[in-house]
Order: sequence, then structure tokens, then C-alpha cells
Amino acid sequence: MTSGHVAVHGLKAGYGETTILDIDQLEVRPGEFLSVLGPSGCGKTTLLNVIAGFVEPTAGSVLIDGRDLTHTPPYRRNLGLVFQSYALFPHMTVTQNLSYGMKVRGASKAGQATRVAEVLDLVGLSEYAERMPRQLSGGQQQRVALARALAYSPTVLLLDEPLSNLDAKLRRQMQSELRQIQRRVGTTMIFVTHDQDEALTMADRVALLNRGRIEQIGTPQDIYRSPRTPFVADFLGAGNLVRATVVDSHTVVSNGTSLPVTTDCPGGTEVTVVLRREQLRLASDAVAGQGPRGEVTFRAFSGGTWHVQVRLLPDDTAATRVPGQVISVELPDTGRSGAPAEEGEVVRLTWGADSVVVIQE
Amino acid sequence: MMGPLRRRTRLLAWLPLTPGGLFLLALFVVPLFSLLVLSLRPTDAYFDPQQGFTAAQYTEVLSGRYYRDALAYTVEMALIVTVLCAVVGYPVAWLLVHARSAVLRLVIVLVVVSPLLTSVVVRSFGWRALLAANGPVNRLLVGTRLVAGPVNLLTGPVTVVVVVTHVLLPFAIVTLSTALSRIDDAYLRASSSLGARPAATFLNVVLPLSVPGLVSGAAIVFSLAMGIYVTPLLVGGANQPLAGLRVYDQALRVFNQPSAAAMSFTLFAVSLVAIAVLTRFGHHWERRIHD
Repeated sequence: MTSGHVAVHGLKAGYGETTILDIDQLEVRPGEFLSVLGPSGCGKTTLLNVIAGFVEPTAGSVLIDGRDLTHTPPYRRNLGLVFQSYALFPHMTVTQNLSYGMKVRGASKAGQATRVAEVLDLVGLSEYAERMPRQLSGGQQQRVALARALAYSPTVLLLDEPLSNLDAKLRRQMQSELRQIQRRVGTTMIFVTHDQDEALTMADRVALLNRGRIEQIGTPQDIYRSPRTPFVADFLGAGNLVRATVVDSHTVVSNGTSLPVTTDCPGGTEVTVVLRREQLRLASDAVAGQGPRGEVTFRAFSGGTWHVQVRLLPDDTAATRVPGQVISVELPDTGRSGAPAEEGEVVRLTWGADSVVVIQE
Repeated sequence: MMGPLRRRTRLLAWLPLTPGGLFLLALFVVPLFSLLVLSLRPTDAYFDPQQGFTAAQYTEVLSGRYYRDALAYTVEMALIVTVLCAVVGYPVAWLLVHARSAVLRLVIVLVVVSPLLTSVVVRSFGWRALLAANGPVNRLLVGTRLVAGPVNLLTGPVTVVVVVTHVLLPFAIVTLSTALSRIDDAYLRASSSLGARPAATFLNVVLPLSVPGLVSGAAIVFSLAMGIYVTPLLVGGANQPLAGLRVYDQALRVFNQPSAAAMSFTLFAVSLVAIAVLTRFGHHWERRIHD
């Protein structure tokens, strides 16, 4: 499919003095699945509403397949929209809901029926054609909402947290189903969510929004492995952000504790070191090696993993300093024989210096 | 052990309803029942009720022109007022729910409820001043040479309809705006995103979903319009063929109370039937959507 290209330029939206959206440049390629991720209030829903035409931007433009739609009313944009609340018309049957978009466009009765049968088959709900929305489960309503938005073959499908009303199991199932449907129909999809797992699992690319701006955009691997800002690292669940000063290309120091890293920042630079919980290991204090020393302050077993918290100790034990930062560590359980160090024990925290991300402030 | 205790607590649960129940019994059910008995009593030459029972008053109400015409006129007036209230009230209710500006919403609320907050006497004399022979409306009509001389605007069917619509409009707007505010905004956006123009969204989504509000608003407005008499009386006088005015006339001027009672009951029955039909329709509609 060649259509479905979305471009946003210099977009600003807000009420009065407050700007809630400020996007310099955003492009979505035809057939791409883009997740727009961010905390609540970051402007992601506003972005969707601007693209859909429900919020008039104060500046900038929205182009779809090269056509400037900034001031086109929603009903002439030919976009599909899936709502968090599904918004199925409660007084219409599933079939009536699905043919609505074609009916208001004046499509022939026969054409409507064929297409309804097609999209019902696509979402696997052929037996439910004559049901009322209230007679369907949440997951089925979700599928009908998706089918309704796809029925008249929109160029772009916008999804506003469509899975957040489903329970965890159904949600995972719908994630993969939605992704398969997207691959099959090839429609460009812009998927708004606050759930980082969901965003990473489903998307070709993820745009992370913070306070109305795009903090970072890239493939899930890219954005997860190389966060550009502490906010991105934190939002994607890095766990430990340690502020430190660069000493040399192999060492930074935080509150008197040396941490081994790899960085090209010159000495003296203020940086944030991202220590992912699952990248960290504990070693015995007696073993000399790389990595800072710390005292275990908390240990808990949670099925397949252990959660351990370690308070960093300064290199120079004689020095009196403010208490060191607490680092969370997630260790795989090794079975009956092994358990990590107990509370109160002093250990050495180790990690592969190359795998740790250093973000320049 | 649990049985009697539970029964006692269940009886106790009814206790808070007693004052309201007694109030209703004393001031509604008892007078209504005695009115029913009165309407069935035979009368002497001075319209004094006698012992025994007769359907003579009901025959008179349903066959005599005096009452029958009034009843037909009143039903027609109430129907027109109901339709007018729906048509005029709907856009106002919509604006009340969807206006972005809080100031505008406040102004609408004040204008809407103002007929309810002013005394019926003040309001009615306001109408009289407006519609009098030398009032602004007549002066405008004469001044623009639409009519040769001042016309009687105070009595007559159009005035009754206008005045009663004004009085009952708040009830329509309040019920309609409640219904409209219950329609999730997402339905409207869904319809628009699916390609429906505003008019199509209104016809296909808003109107069907507001049926419950239309039904309850219509029931309230219709039954109030059926019994209204104070405002038409104060604006246009007692000589109009309105059922409420006829009852007033018979009961307090001719002193034919059994006949007035029979007329009251007939009015009551017509309203009940209308409300029953409307609410049945409303229930049927809502069951389709919600059960």
C-alpha cells in the first residue's frame, strides 16, 4: 500500500497561554505502526485529536499523503479512529455499526454487506453480526470497534489506548492480533499508549512524548538500548539513574563512589549513568574486581527473580559522606542451592562496562 | 431466631418512609378518592350531591359540547405545546450541554429557569402588558401596517399555546439536557471520524440516543399542559375553552362540583393514558440499548 503517509510540521496546540503540544517534525511512513508513548498529560491524546481533526492546532500543519488537512473537518479526513471506550453506537447492531461509515458515504447496500462480511471475518466475529454491542464481551467490542474503523478502508488508523480497558491476558492476545491485522491490511497505524511494554511490543517505531514534545523517536530496540535523555531511560523502566561526573573514559564518580563505564565525554562532564536492574550482578566483596561496593538493604524473592537493593558505599570507607544511592537489582533465581547476599552484607556490584548507557546532561 | 429479627429490621427499614407516605395518603389519595365518589353522585336541581351512584356526569362530559370541545381543545393544545417545547427546547438543551464558555452556560440556565423563579402572577401580567391593545406587540403590528388597528392578542389559541409553551419550556430543557449530557462525547467523535457530517451525526446518533429524554420531557410537559389553567386565566380570562378553566368554572362559579369532579377525572385519565403510552415506548427503546 502506497498511501497512508502522515507528516506533522511545527505543530503547536494548547489553550490560551499553555502549550500542551509542541511538535517540530513527525513523519509516519505508509504502512508503519507507530506507538506514541508517554505519561498521562504528555499530550499524546491531543496529538491524536489534532491528527483526527477534533483539536484545532494553534500553529503548524498536518499532511496526509501530501494533502494539507490542518483545517479539514474530521468527517472529511478519511481516517479511522478507535477509542479507549470503543464508542460503539449502542442503538445499532454490529452490522449497522460496521456499515455506518459506508452508509454515510452513500455506498451501495450490496457493497456495504460484502465489506461488513469481510471485516467481520478479519476480526473473527462473523457469528456476531446481528448482536447489539451490549451483548458482546469487552474483547469482542474492541474487535468490532477496530473492524468499524477499518470497514471503509481509511488511509490511516488512529488508536487511542484501545487496549487499556482489557484484562492483562486478553490485552496480550489483542496486541498480537492487532499487529497481525495491521500486517495483513497494511494500514498506517498510530497507536497511543501509556504502557511502555505495549508500545515496545507492537510498534515499528516508538515516539516518546514528554510535556508536549517528542523526547525521542526510534525503533523499540533503539529507544530502549540508547535512551537519549534520563526521562526516556526512566520511562522505559531502566530502574537506576545515577548522576555522576566523568573522571576518564573508563570511570565516572558519583558521591565518592567510582563506577566503571565506557564514555567519550571529557573529564568533568556531568552525566547520568543508566544501570538497568537486570544488567547488574552481585559479587562477593572479598573478590577484588571492578565495580563499586555496597551494602544490601533489602532482599525479596518473587518467583523467578530476586529483588535486591544495594546502597552504594564510597571508595574511601573512612570518608564520611551522605548515604549512597540505593540501586535496585533484579537477579534470576538459581534454584535451591543459591540465594543472593542477605540484608546487611557488603557486596560488590558488577556489570559489563560497555553495556551501560551514559547520558550527557 | 433470625427470622423474626430480620422481619423486624425489614419493617424498621420502612419507617423513614412513613411521614412521606402519610403525607401522600392524606393530601393526595384521600382527596382523589373522595373526588371520584363525588363525580359519581347524582345531583339535585342545585347541583348538590345526593346518595347513590350515577354515571350521568361522565355521560355529560363525554357527550355534551361544553366539556367535550374543551377536552378536545385542551388535548390539541397540549400536543402542540409538547411538540413546540421539544423543538424549541432541544437546541437550547444542546447548547447548555455543549457550550464551551461557562458564562454562556450560566446565562442559558438563568434564562431557562427564570419562568420558574418568577411568580405566576408577575409572569402572567408581564404577558398581559406585552400583548395588551396598547402594548408593544400591537404597536409594532399597527406601526408596520400589518394590521389596521389593535387586535385582541390576549385570548385565542395562539396566545394560549405561546404562553403555556413559555411556562413549560424549562421542564423540557432540563430533562432534555440531562439526557443529552449522558451521551458520551466519544459517540459524536466516532460518528464524525467515520465520515458523518454534523447533520448525519445528529439524525443517526444524537437523536436516537436522546429518545429517553424526549419521552420523559414529553410526558411531563403534556401532563402539565393538560391541567394548566392559572396562566391562561390570568392572561386571557376565564372564557376560554380549556379543560382546566372549565373545571374551575364549574367548581367555583356554577358550584356543580360532581360535574367538575367528573371532568377532572376524565382529564386525569387522558394524561395517564398518554404517559403510559409514552413511557412504554421509552422503555422499549431503552431495553433495546441497555439490557
